[in-house]
Amino acid sequence: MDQRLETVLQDVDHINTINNQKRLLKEQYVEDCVLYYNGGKFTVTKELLGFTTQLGTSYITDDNLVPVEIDKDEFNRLISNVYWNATKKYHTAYQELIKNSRNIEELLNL
Amino acid sequence: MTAGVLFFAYNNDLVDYIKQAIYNAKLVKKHLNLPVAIVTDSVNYLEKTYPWYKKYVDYVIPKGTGQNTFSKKHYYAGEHFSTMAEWKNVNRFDAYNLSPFDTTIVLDTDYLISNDNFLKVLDQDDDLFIYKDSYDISLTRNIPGFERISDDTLDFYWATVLIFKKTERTKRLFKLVELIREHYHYFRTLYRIPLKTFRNDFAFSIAIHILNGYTITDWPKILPGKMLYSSPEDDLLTIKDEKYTFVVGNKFRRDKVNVVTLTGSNIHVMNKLHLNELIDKEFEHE
Repeated sequence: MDQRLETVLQDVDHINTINNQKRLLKEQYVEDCVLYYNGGKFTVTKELLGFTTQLGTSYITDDNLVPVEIDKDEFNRLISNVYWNATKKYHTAYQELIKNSRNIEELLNL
Repeated sequence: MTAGVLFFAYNNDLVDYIKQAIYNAKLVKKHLNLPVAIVTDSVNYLEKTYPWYKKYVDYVIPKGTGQNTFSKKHYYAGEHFSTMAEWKNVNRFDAYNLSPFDTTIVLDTDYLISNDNFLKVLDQDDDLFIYKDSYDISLTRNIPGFERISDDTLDFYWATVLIFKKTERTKRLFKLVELIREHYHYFRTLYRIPLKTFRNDFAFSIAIHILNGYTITDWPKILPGKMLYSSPEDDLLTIKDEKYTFVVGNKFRRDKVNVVTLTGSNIHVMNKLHLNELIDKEFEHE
């Protein structure tokens, strides 16, 4: 291991480091949940997934309240893919973080 | 329709931006699989110092900055060292005319690519994508100055990443940024910007405001998520297998340090001096 890193690791704020790593994973998750469709920008959430299954029309507003016309089947398929891929990736990274949280070197994946 | 990534790399006495651009080109090839172009005034240096550059760089575009004198800015290597050097990254507006691509991703050389999220926007009809919101690598810090260009004026847009298509509107945008650079003193007075040094972020923020009719609209589109950055005062300790390990800078630290590792997230590394040192290690086997 890098000598400087070894020195730093003797003096790490453990709790803060765990919380910080969790926050970074969360931000990356939100980024991964974004879908651009027909000129609209959608952050895919559980609420959007539930809402679109009940949607009676082919029009929906995006994150900026801009109205967008959608092909419902295609849109549902796309947002489902985005959500499940992003959430699976987030879950894997989060579990890894929790599993390694006792040991700072493993926590930081060094 | 072609798409690719464009870097501007103008070395100064302190920072080898060409080295950063080539390192980032390697990351672009891996994660985005797009052609890469570098705009520089030091083509000979690039070819002699990095003779293997064609593995990662498809176009080298010779172009000066159009200026002879440059203002100086602080360059930090963590919280304990800083020095001054010329800042030459002043002609980003040339991206419109110089880019060989129909859709161009303009990146700062120190904005390191670690995922393929920018591919999401390439097939969209919108002509400009940019970051507005950002967050830094530390949970406990609140770095001011990235929400508005000055205390009571315009929203801040990051020029660190721009994805644009060549349209009449983006042509006007880049032309306007050029005009703002030429008359920067006027615009910084008008918008009460305290920083004397020209900054691309300010110029694009002002130009977007003007093109939007001096109001806020849904143009330009915002890139996915927020832009992640590390402060110039954060130590970048190691790069290993695209894993970046930082010690968070904190002048008011009393005892423990905060360490952050990143994998899979694009990041703007503002500590250019540490980045340059570590890229040397990455290039040992090229």
